[in-house]
Amino acid sequence: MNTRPLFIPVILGTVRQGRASENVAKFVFEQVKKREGVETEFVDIRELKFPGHDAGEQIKDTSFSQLCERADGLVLVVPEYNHGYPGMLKHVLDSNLKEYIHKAVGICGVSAGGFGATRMIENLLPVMRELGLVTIFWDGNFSGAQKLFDENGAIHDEETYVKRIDKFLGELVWMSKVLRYGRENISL
Amino acid sequence: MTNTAQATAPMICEKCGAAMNRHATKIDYSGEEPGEDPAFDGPLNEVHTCPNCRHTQLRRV
Repeated sequence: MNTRPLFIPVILGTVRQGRASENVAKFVFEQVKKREGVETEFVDIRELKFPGHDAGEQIKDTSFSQLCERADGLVLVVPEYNHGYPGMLKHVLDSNLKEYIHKAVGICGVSAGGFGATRMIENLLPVMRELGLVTIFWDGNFSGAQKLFDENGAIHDEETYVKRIDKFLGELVWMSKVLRYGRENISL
Repeated sequence: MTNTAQATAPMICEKCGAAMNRHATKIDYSGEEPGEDPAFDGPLNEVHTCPNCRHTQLRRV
């Protein structure tokens, strides 16, 4: 059994100015950092600078591809825009394929309204599947995102959200361990 | 599929030289080459992961 730490980066999946998802992503990132046996990294897709004149694996970013290859699981923090996910996130995710196959993914949805981006999450699930990622059944749901944090980026109802994310991460870590074992030891 | 997998030598990691584990097969939808089997929409790639350094490599079925 592999004993090296799991690597589970947190990806902030929007480039929009004034994005409320940034506070959520930082909060989730802090929770992942507290997990024993897990290494993480914060990835802001705004910083990746993918070109817009082409798409798919033709525009691979070496550092992002290496990060995804190293990863055992991913946390995506994604806002709901018009019931969908940001096009820029899809643009970034489509730049890899083999790097994702049989790795775990958990989605934290962020919405201005009251449904915690559940519609976006449902739309994103088939994309995850086609990329070869394995989704968990816990989601992070952050409703009313503009009011969830104070002016310093601290979450108001910390206890509630820490408990929720603890469940989410518990499932994600388990799935990441199982899939890593499978990728490395169980042959098709 | 199982017989094919057993008959094929393990892929060797191009980064560290370890024997890799084949754990998936994926259709290549790029359209650059036709698939041999019309049951699929393109050629098939085996997906191999290195247990030593995590590197992933593809190999045409």
